[in-house]
Parts: sequence; structure tokens; C-alpha cells
Amino acid sequence: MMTDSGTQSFGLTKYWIILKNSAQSNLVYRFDVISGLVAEGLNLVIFSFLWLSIYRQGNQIGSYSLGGLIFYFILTRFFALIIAYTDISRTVSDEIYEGKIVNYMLKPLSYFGRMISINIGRVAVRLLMFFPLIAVAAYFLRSNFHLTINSTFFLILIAIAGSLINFLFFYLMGLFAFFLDGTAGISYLGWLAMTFFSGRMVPLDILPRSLGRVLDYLPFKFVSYVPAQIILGKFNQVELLANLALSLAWLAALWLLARALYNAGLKRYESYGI
Amino acid sequence: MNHMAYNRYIRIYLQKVKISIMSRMVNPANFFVLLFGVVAQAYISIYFLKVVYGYVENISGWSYEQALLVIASFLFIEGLIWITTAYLSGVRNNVRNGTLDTQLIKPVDSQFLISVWRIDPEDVMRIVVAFIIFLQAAGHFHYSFADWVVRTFFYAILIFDGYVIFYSIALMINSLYCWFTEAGGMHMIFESVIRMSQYPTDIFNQSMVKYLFSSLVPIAFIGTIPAKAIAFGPRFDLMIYANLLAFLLFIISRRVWHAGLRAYSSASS
Repeated sequence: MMTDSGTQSFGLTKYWIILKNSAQSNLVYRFDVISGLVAEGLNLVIFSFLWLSIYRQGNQIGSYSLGGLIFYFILTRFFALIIAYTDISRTVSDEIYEGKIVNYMLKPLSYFGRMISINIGRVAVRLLMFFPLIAVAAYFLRSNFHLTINSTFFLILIAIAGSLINFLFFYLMGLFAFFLDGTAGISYLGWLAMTFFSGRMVPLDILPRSLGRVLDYLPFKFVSYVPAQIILGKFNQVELLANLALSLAWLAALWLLARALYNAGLKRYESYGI
Repeated sequence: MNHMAYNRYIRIYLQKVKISIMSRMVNPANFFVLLFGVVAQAYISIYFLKVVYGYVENISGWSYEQALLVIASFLFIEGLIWITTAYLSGVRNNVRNGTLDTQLIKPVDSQFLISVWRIDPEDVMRIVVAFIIFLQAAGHFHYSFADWVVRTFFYAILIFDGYVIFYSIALMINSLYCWFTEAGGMHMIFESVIRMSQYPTDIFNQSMVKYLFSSLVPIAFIGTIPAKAIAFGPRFDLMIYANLLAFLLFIISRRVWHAGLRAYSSASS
């Protein structure tokens, strides 16, 4: 049974089980998921009223029409609901502080693998739960969709990269627990950065040019802004390629950083009585 | 309640403040990062407004400086809520952990004890930032000294009313945990609605929505209405309405809390 291939197969199976457990537990707490949707919906209503009162006066924000701007916010909120999960940092830091992480060090299980399986399970459930809503929204707002087969391909890749960037970013925040006595502050800052710099409050292209240029090189935009802009058809082929390359570079950089931080953390980690 | 009892409650609150500061200062680095985070969050709200006002002169009749007053009012009230009750998180934490009984058997009013169960001292920064924003905005209004005194008097009362309204709604929402231990979603929705108070409610031009946010879910009193006292002049009718609403909501929230306690079945006993 324990041939190389058998071991490998078992290796994948255990992560599949973690993924399934995560999906099931997210289904159990579906009231929280639906409440999240209502909360984001209410948020969208306020912003829509805000934009409406601005456009009613004959003003315009950047190159966006009123419909385009509202559609942009619908998209970023959908991406936020599905992929922007921030609790990872608290889970990781709690497990480090409480010594639970030792359990995974003693088992033939990668801690990173476990956490990413939990994350994928959560994203999969949310995607399934929100799919009917996305389909309905897509049908009624189809005139705003500017997707081609080519850009859909890039959208899928960049959205997956964005989801993993979000995961790695908050996973890193949690790993700071190896070095700090409290990570609540740093996680709070991370959440603030992700909320504003991912374009969830305002589209990044309406921000002042100097700030926009800096944010263009940071990883946050791949979580909401870039996927939304692809759907709105705002990128040409070169920009799509450049965004994909940059998102993959950030993914690699964050993954290497997470590995280095985890290994450095384990070297100095002490736990008692576990 | 006599004078001695008031003193006792003040002493308990001050002890809670002391304990909170001590527990935060166990890890000073984290405390200062949290302080910085609070300032950063307030700055993001202002920056958002600045970006929007970069494209428009006014929004529904509110200039940039007047809209700053709405943010300042919201931050004053939110800061007060955090440093006195931490969004009433004591209710849900104690219900979920089955430790509510230990709070109920103490010879102090249960509502008071559960309200001050947690206090977040770092959120005093919200009040400091609110004060700075208020001063910055106030510099653009050229009123006489007497005018300032009257407007500020009305403003202070409306801020207090806003605090009581916020507190009462938070208590009612958190009391739901006594019936449904998994009411976390309601809390998410509550926070989302409360965040609307940062923007002038005059943007809701539909009369139904306007009515909703000034009566049923009175978020207008947590930002817009206090700001109006400074920006557009004091209105006696609004102040009376705010006082009555605050009083009424406080009474209702106390009843809801007691009803919640009657429905509560302990998890620990």
C-alpha cells in the first residue's frame, strides 16, 4: 500500500479531506455567509446613493458612467465576498499562541497545505452559493460585460492568483505570531490596506496619479480591482499579460516569504505541555 | 439610585479602564500598532471623501468641510462607544463562552456590567482624530463667538443623543444572542448599516429611505444631524426629537436586554 505512488495518493487525499471538511463547515454556517452578502449589499446601496447624488448633479467620476461605476462596485464586492477572507491571520496566530501548531508538526501534514485546503474549501462553497446570484446579475447587467474568450481565460487565472495572494498575505500576517506577542494590530493594518488598496472603496484609476502608480506595483489590486476591470473590458492584451505576470511574480514572492517566515519562526518557537 | 451607588458604578468603570490599559500594555508594540491602525482607518475615510470631492463641488448640498463634520461626529460617537462598551461585545462573548452567568450573579446592574465588560482604550484615538477633523472643518466656518457657543452646545447634546441611540441599537442587536447564539450575521449587518452614518444621509433622496434612516434605523443621528447643528445652524425641533428618540430607544433596549436574559439558557450550568 505504501508505495511511492500510494504515499503520494494518500498525501493528496488528506488535503482533499481537509478541503471537504472546510466546505462542509462553511455550509453549516451559511447564515453567516448570507449575512455577509446582505451586509455587502447594504454597503453597495449606500455607495450607489452616494454616486447617484453626484451624477444627478451632472458630475462624472473619472471615465466611469453611473451604471459602470455601480457595476464596478457590484463586481468588487462579489470578489471580496468570494475570495477576500481575512480570518486566516487570526486562525494562524491563535494556533501559534495556543501551541496547536505543534500538532501539525508531529503529523505527516504540511501546515501550509492544511491552511490552503481550508481556504480553497471556503472559496469553493462561496462560489457555489453565490453562483445563481452572479448568473442573474450577469444576465441583467450583460451590457456592461466586455468579456471575450481570451479575457475570460485571463480573468480566471488572475482571479485564482488574487485569491491565493489574499490567502498568502493574511497567512503571513498570522505567521508574525512567531515573532510578536500580539498580531491583532498588524492584522488590522493588513485588513485596512487590503480594503482600500484592492479598490473596494474607490476604483484605483480615479485615485491621484502618484498613489495610483505605487498601487500598480503592489499585490492588493489583484484581489478585486484587476478582475473587475477585466470584466469591464478596460485592459488590452498587453495589459492582461503584464497583470498576469505581475500577479504570478507576487504569488511567488509571497510564497517564498511565507516559507522563510515559517521556517525562521519554527526555529525560535517553544511550546510547553502540549 | 443614590449618590453612593453612582460612585460605585464610576469606580467599577474606572477599574475596567485600568484593567484594559494594563492588559493592552502587556504588549505595547501591538497597542501602538492598533493606535496607528485607528488613525489610518479614520484617514482612509477622509481620503475617500477628498477623492470624491476632487470631482464635485458638493454632494446633496454638503460641501467638503461640512461632510468632514459628519465624519468627525461619527468618529466622536464611535470612539465613545469603543472606549465605554467596545460595541457591546461583552454580550456575545459571554453568551458564546457560557460565562454570562458569572456576570449576572454579581451585585451590580447586569446591563451596566455587560456593557463595560470590554473597553478598547486604543480607540480614544478616534476621539482625538475626530477633534482634529472638527477643528480643521470648523476653521472654514466664520460664525460669531455667540453663534459658536450656541451651535457647539446643540452639537454636544446631539452627540450625546447619538451615543445613546448607537448604544441602544447595539444592545438590542447583541441581545439577540440570548435567543440565537449564532447571530453573528446580524452583527455584520449592523456594522454595515452603522458605517453609513459616515456620509450625509441627505444623499438618500428617496423619501422612504430618508424616513427609514431618521426613524426606524436612526443612523442620521449618529453623524448627519449633529453635524447639521454646526454646518446649518441649530434646530430646536431636531434636538427635542433626538432627545426623545434616545430616551425611547434606551428604554426599549433595556427591555429587550431583560427579555433576552429571561430567554437565555446557560451553556455552563
